[in-house]
Amino acid sequence: MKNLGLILVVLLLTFISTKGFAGSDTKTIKIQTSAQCDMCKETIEKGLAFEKGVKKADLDVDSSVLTIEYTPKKTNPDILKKAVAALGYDADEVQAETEAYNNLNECCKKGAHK
Amino acid sequence: MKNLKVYVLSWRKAIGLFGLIFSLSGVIQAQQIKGLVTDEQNEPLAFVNVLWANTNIGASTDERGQFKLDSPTAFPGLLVVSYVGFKTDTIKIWENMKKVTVVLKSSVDLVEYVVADRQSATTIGTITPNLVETLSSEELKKAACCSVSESFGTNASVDVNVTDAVSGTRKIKMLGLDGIYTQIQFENLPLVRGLSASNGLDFIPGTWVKSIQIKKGAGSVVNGYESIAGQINVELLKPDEADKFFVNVFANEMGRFELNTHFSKKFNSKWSTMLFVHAANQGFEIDRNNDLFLDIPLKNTAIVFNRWKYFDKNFRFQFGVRGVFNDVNSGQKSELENPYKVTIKTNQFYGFVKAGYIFKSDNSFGVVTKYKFHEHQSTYGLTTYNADQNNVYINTVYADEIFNKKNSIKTGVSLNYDSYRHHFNDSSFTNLEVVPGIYFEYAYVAGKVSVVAGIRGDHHNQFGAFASPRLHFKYNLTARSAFRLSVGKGFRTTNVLIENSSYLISSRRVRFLEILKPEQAWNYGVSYSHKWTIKEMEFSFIGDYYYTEFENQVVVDVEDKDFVSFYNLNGKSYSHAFQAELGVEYKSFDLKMAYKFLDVMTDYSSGLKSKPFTPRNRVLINAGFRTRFDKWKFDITTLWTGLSRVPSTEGNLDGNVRSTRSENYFLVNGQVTKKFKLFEVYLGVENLLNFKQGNPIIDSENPFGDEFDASMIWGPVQGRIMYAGFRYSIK
Repeated sequence: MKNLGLILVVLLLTFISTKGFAGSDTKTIKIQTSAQCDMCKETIEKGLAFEKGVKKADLDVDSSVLTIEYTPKKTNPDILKKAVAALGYDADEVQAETEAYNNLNECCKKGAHK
Repeated sequence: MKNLKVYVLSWRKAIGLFGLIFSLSGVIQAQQIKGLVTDEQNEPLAFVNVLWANTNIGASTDERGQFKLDSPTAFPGLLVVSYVGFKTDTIKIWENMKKVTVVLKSSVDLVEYVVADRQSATTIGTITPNLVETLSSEELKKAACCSVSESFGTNASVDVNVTDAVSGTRKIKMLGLDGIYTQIQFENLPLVRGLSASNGLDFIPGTWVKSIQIKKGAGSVVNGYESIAGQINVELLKPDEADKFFVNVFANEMGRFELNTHFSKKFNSKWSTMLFVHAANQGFEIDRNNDLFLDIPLKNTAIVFNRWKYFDKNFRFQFGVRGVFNDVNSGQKSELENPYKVTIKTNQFYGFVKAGYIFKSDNSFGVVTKYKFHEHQSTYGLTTYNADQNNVYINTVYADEIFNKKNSIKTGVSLNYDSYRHHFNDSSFTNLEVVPGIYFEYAYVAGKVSVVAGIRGDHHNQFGAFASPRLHFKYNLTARSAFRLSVGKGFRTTNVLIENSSYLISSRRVRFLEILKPEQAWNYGVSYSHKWTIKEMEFSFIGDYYYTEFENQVVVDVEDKDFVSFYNLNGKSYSHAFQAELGVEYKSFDLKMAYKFLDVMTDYSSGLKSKPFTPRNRVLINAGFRTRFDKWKFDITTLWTGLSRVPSTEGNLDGNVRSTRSENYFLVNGQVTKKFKLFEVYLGVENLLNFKQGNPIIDSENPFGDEFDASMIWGPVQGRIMYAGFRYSIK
């Protein structure tokens, strides 16, 4: 019983700590991507949600601009752009990784919505 | 590159502007999506149903395979594309998609009932003629430990019970009837039959499973004569779809350790292979209730499975081999002078080949064949029981349409060969069963009505000819609600010692009162399923009632405390099973509540009595919550079990007489999962409230005496157990 209580408390604290102190020391970056549809939006936001140091990622489909809130101690713009490229999308000057791009759904490839 | 980006940007804006003007000027002009449905040979398919998931809005394709449909109100929309003889497909439709081409895959796997919807953990289809509950791998993850039989903890249709306080064996029940009356299959090949009945589903690790289909009541004649209470079909991961590498490590506070892993390799568009490996160990002796008996058996398990798949437009081929090595050692602690020991050793080899040729989309021929060798060696104190089984199974399926797309048939022949050798204490006996059979099934599916009628004839070398008719009827009141009826007959032969081995862990003497005949029963079922939406809440309801009536049953009689007796039914044996289940999904919450009523009665030689250890009332509540992108998942399941009858122990010394009624109890399991970029970790607890059946073993001090009995079990024998583990995969 003791162990159980302890583990639950630790879990709760971990949960709170990941949620609670988001605003304390974050930076925001805007990246121009090659995303063009809602499906791309989901892929990119989901992919970045699991990147280290990322607090929030939001893609505006109309402008293809990705806004990321991140903790500068844990990550930096170069890493974030590479993470986007690894998902198959261009991120500013960093080009999409070929293999990931080829694996994208047809509707997410460049020019699919011409 | 730069130019392109500017270009992309500008057309997006242009479209946006257009869209704005369009939507302002023409509110009446609803957006439409056009589509084409074809088979794998690129032939257009007519009369295919396309339907927005969870709505009544749908259409059918025309002769050219084309359809038009209003765009969904919210994106992404889920488009369900279904057609008889093909696997149902669900496609996400995004805002900018105006045209879609769907290629339906033929369901040549002889699976006539796959309802694939990977969004939800459990789905109840309104499409198939018979009611099918599909558990996805997501559902199985809710109870991370360990094998398929333990995974049914979050499901109301299948009950899982511990059979005794020593061997750790778990058995499933459906409609209040023992798991032996449920036909358990692996991708429509027999899986748990004959000697594997004692621990069949324990040998399928949950992480290997792609999905499980549960059907109550009569099954299709295509799959054989043995289904009485229902069917469970286990689909394992497929070599051409699975992750390249997966590993799962599990451990609990009692010292149980499990490793599950699989590798898949795709050589080209046609050939692929997959290797599954499982290892489990319980290494040290634990006796938390100080009755000198181990609470959990010492155990070593290794299971290896390798399958190969060849997939071409017209020809499909699969083969695989599986080996199981399981060693269980339980009973009294080893430090005692003359301990009462239970040892069970199982070796199994399983090989299968499946081949199918598709002439046209709805015209195919398939052959499936399987060989199994199963060896069982056991001791229960001074009792020994060894047995082995050689089994060969062959089934052929020819499928075709007649007159038009609405009418189809399936027909074929089958053969089941079983050769058993049993050694029970000093006596030995052999048993040979050869059962050739022939079947025919007709299906009519059109609009709201579908009917599947089948009959099969089988000839048993000892018991003669049997006919097994089956009928399924479905009527869709709306696209989201269905009313179903089913009637069918099944028969099976018994292996009573293996099926009731828990009673060997007692001082009871085994009595065969006569030559045992095959078991035969009729099953009748009705069900109603309905889904509806209120605001953003998705509701689902399902109510069903099944009545099973045995014409003959091998009665397992433990009403006299000194014996376990086996004889043929003389009188009535039946089961009434009623279940109602309500599910709600709202954003990232889901909730499931189920109530089950069971009335299972059998005429024993001492009179009509309810089946022991079968509670009349049960309630299951399962709640889940997940954060965005499943970063965190919380699941909690509460099961309330009502009173059940316990056979009388009258005549024992005072301290060894137990109540003839069980107690009500709550069982609560919970689990938290955290997902990272590459892996997942989970932490959970079983039996949170720590409820245990008190003194589960009768006269545990004298296991070699006349009153010892470890098989009178109606509740949990293990208390609260914490566990943890992780999963890692390479896509």
